[in-house]
Amino acid sequence: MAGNGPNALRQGLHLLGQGFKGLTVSPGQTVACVLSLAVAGCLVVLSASFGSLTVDVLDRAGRSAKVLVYLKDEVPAERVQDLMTRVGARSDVEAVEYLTREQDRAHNADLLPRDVMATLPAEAVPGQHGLEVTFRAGAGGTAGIGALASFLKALEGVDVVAEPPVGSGRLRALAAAVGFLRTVLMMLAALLLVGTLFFVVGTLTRTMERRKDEMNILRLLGATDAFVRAPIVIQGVLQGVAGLALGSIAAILVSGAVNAWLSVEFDVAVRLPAWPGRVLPLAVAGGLLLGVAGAFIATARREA
Amino acid sequence: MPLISLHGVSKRYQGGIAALSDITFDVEEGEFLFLSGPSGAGKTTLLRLLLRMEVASHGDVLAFGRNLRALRRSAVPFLRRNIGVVFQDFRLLPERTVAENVAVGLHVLGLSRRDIRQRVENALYDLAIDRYADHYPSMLSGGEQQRVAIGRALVMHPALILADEPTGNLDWELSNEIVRLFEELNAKGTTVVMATHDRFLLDAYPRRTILLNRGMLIEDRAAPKRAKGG
Repeated sequence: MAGNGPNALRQGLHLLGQGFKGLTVSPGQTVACVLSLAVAGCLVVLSASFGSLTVDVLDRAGRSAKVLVYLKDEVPAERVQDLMTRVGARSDVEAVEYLTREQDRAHNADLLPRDVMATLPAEAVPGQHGLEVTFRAGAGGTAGIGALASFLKALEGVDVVAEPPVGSGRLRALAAAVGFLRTVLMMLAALLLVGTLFFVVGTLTRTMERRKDEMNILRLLGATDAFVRAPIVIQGVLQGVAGLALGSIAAILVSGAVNAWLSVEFDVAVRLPAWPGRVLPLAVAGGLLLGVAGAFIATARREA
Repeated sequence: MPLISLHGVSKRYQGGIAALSDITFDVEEGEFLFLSGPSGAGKTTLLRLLLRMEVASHGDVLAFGRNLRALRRSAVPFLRRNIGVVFQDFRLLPERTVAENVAVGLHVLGLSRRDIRQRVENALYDLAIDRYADHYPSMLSGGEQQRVAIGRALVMHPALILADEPTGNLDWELSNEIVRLFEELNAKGTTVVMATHDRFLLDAYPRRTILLNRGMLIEDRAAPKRAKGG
């Protein structure tokens, strides 16, 4: 493919045209190949997206784990301040807030059924002052919360340390499990992508079979290996980029639709991430890689 | 310096089958040479060596001053751009028109569309098949298809034409047409090496003839002086 600038440009344009033409050699197979790539690409993005959302939600839930420390009635305000300072100084504590008797009473009232509450005088609902200790995220999981609870129980003036909120540690463990699952799902989707690589190879092999005579003639007329192979590589890249870009766009659209549905139906703030700024360039790069790899395998198989 | 030079060339295939044994001869620039001999004599193998589709087992094959045994794979395409090749079975692309078949190699050179069109039109006109430019090969006779194949070789402006039994599928009249066409090209300075086992053609066109049999050079018969070099 040696040549001066204009010649090389003309050759390039000719080869690009030949690459596009290759897509029509076996149109059914080309469409099936692009669609399978799109499905695989869409699954990769969606599994990453759903996984990230779940991990994020669970992580946020785990991060908001709070331990309630009820103080004895006689603990004076100065002692409360001292306790707050000591607890807040710990590295596994995010924040410490004082809970008044009224706040605790209101909280307990919320937990009782409304009809029961209607029959009770307000002072009948128990209320005790205390501290609301927020556990720092990533500071040791279930064992970490247990250690914090033990520390709090040992403090002078502490009456009761409420058990850590249901499964905050478990939530964090679950988040880790979901993270692992997300990785597994992405790997499975990536395996699916590798599977579709053979689809690409199959399509390119078919094109090469159909153009075998032309390729042989071109070689006899002085075409370089690169000139003969280029249309196959271009066809592979076109298929790869088209398939993965289509899959990524589909994934972005799906996540957008899911977000809209969540917002309308449940009025929730969580959003399924789709990272269009990263996904589309990655899809193009991945398609390029897949096409080149497919063309390499197809030509190597034919020459073997 | 000869355009082609073979020195003690042998070609053995796997299993020890000897296709060529100790072949030595030269072809000068502008010469017309027949390679003759029965089927299996080694004519096609010799042409394949000249095209560097195969490499000699022993001896040296020189073309355009280059030793083809030592030629790097990446240099082979540039050697072939000097050689036009014509086959017995035409090897045209059935889904391409006559003009497209003739133009197929020109894209390799990176010529402009205008240059390609010009070269194709000239070749089709010279070969008297310009009226078939938009026809498909299946719509043409054998002689016309062979002209298209010759046109495909000619548009590359080769210094050497290698023709492997180009009249093998044609009747006597069409065979004469094709050989006359090669003579015309030779008269313009193109070196022609044509393999044929047709004794009538050899008698009708007295040119230098290399006779092969079972891979050995049996006779190197010089052309009568009046016909040499076209």
